[in-house]
Amino acid sequence: MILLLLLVPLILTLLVRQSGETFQRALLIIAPLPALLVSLVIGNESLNISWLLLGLHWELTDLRRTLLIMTSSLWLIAGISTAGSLSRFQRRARYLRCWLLTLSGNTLLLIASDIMSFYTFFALMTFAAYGLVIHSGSNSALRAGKIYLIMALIGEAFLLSGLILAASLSAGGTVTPLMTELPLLLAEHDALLISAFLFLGFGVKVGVAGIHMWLPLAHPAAPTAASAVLSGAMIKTGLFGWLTVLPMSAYEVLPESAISFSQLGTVAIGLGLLGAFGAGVLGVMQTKAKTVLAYSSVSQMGLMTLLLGVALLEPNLWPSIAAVIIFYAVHHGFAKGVLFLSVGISHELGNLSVRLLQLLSALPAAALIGAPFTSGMMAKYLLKENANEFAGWLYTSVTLSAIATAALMARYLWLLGQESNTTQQSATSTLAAFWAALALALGGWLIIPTTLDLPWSILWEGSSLWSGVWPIALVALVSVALLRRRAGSPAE
Amino acid sequence: MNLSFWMPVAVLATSLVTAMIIFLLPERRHTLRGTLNLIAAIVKIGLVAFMIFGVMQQQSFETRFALLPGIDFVLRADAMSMLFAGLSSVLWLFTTIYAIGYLEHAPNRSRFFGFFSLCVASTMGIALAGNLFTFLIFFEMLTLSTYPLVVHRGTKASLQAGRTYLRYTLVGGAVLLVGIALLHSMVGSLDFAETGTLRDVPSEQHGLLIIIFILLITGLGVKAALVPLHGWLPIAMVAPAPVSALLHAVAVVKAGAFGIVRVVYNVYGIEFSAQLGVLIPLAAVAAVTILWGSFQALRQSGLKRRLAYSTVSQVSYIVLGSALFGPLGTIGGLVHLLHQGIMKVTLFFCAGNYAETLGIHKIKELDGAGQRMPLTSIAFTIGALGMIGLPPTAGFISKWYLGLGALDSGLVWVLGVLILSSLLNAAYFLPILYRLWFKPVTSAWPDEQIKAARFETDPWLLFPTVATAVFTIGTGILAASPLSPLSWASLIAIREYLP
Repeated sequence: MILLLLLVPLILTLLVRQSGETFQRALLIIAPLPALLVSLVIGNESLNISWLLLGLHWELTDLRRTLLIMTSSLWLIAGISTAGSLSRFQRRARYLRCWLLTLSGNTLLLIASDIMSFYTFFALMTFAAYGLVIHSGSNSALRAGKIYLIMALIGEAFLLSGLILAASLSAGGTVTPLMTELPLLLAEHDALLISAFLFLGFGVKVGVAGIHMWLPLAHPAAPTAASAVLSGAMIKTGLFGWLTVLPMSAYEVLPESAISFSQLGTVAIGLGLLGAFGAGVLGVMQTKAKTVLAYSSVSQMGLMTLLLGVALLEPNLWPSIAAVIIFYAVHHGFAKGVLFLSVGISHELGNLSVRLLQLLSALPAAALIGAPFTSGMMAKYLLKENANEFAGWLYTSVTLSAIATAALMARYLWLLGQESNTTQQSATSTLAAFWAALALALGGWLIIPTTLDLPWSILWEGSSLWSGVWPIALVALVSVALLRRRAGSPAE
Repeated sequence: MNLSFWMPVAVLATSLVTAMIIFLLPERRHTLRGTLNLIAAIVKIGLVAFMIFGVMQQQSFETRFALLPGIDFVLRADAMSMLFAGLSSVLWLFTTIYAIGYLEHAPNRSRFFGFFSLCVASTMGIALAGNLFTFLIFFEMLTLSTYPLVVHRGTKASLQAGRTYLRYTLVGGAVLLVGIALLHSMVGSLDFAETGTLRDVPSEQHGLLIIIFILLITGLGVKAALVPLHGWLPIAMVAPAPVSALLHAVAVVKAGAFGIVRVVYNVYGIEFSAQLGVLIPLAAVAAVTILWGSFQALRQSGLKRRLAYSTVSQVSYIVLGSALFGPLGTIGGLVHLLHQGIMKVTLFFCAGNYAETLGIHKIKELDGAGQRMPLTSIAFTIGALGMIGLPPTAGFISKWYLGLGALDSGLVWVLGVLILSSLLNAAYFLPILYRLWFKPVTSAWPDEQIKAARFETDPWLLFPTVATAVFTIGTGILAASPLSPLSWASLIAIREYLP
């Protein structure tokens, strides 16, 4: 029953009024707390209410908890950040309602296990986030919103078809299966087409190459704190969907039933590589820091996609790959969150030093590349281990992708300086949120993997240190060379 | 002559007697008329609820007497009839409340409410009819009692629409009569029965049975607005909002769809229909109607016309469900009989609220209306999301079961139709929602009739709108509970298949 606490933000939506800024600030901060507390305090738990929906079933497992901790803490930080600048928002009540609805959908879908709850909250998050994307009302935001919505609908269409098709495999007929029962059904029926539908349905959210084009438009269009949750937390719901329903996870239920989905796996690896490198190339050509970050998300999710492809090909690798994806999701969520928030800070720098901001932002940026002693080093190491287990060339590819990430981060840090504006000053709570996010990105992740059984020793092993350093060094050299040439050339 | 005999009569009488008294009441006795209407509606809900509980416990209610030699007049409460009777009695109450508010200060209210009650009496008769002849009597009575409602305003456009309406429905009725007479000449008068009545007809007569099936469906299909027999429906939009709501949600269109359901399940029987091979063509007609209606809806600029074409599309989900062989498809079709009614009545109430309060008739005039009329707009949003088929609304439940039913019966392409229809629904409803919530108010409202006071509009208009919106969500959220439409539809579905 305690899981019902996650409905609190949904109820808070009803309390939003036009006036009362203090109350509105309070709502922003209170709303994510139930999810955060439940995920931190409560053990594994499930809730069954047979007369609700088509049979409601929610559960909190280790996997779900890990993602819920990341998601709710990111929403909390984004909420605190927004609370500081709330007075500058037009149509606050509408924004706040969309915020709370998106937050509700995002957190609740992580505990939903029956298909109808899950689909309800997934759709709630998707459609409510439209209000965040178009909030500024500018033409570019409206266009981004339109493309976001069209792609979201296409995703929903694939998802719903996939879910209905998968549910029809259940022999019971009238019984609607749980989300967690789908992998086994898909594996037992060797259901390639259905799996492909589900892959695409969630793939839109993940930003898989080819169906990613909404992402670099929509994520940056939203107000900064909303971009942070869009790119940090909401993009992970697609990953979560994959983890929950795709057939490789049948391995955990019944190892002998898990079969290789080689076509889908190969396509996923191909699209993953395309995303990881392609987004790097397109990203460095962007002129806005937030757009660069969005491309970086597409690139990072490309790595996740290829890892999923490996698991589809070789389900016996799934248990370790699942752990990597979750770890990576948390690591990327925290890092991306703070990177977006610092864009917001740079726009209202006040008397802060832009160099300091760049320096501070370089830390999570380095983590994203996989620099030593960061979450990224751990994540990249685990990622490469699994890639290597599959094929040597994939190992090399993942290693090389660090160059793409490093280039994106260099571009981002440079643009951060370019965009900096000292005429306005960030509010105290916006700064506080930035510091909190930074702390989480650098240290907060350490509390996560206790349930994942990770090899901590790699953090101080020499070989992995070097592989984290050289991409950064390489890109740093090239960047410095480029900056020098630019300084040397006649003024443009 | 006992309770079982009198119950169906009593249900009919609540509306029939009310209609007679209203016709006799002087025009200016507004309060008395309103009170009488509401009391009758509530009494009817009580009686229907009583029969529903009876039917649940396998009790039977039947009124039967010989009309002509060999032809009985039969009213009977079975699970299927209670599905429709439950819907119309509940929605009648809300529509009556709405109509009282809507027609405040309008002329000819006595005539309006009289025919309104007659119209409901006809739907009740259709619901309770125990054989095709009884069904036909009420089906024609419905045509005649709705005509005065369509032309109520007496304008040139509405008289024109009324003529079109009569032309379509009377021809449809005639075709239906031919079908019924032919069937009677073959097998005599047969009561509606679970699992059907015709499977023992020798196989050399199956060809004739197929022809009769086509005649029956064509006759019923006019009211159910199957493409290409749907032409009257968008034209009949000139009627006042409560009439449109009634026409689209419970009365005319739904009567046609219910008739098709009766023919497939309780005359031919679903298993026999499948054996005759008539189900797949029926599914194809339904699919064409679903997509055609949606494409046409996209092109409309008037709010009510867009809703009208949406009805063309949505009602065929019911027909589609009955064309899917297998309990899941049956459940999907039957449950949509209720769900479509609840959702559509909500949307038409909203359209009426916008028109009455702010004078809005065109979609482009809705910009920013969400701020001015939040409750109506929330209700509209819920109805629209239901039409798209998003959870947790009633529409999702329908779509889920229809989708599973399509796969169950091996018609994978039907799933494609459902998904495409969802996308089309999104394409014509989401832009309206965008205007309601995200567009700023550009200028003054076209014709603001009711100023915002304590409520955004007349509470008589607002209350039924909110109530049906709550039902739209409630039937989805409580779908698995024993008293939901889904549970009732599942109960029927189990009984329609041979053990």
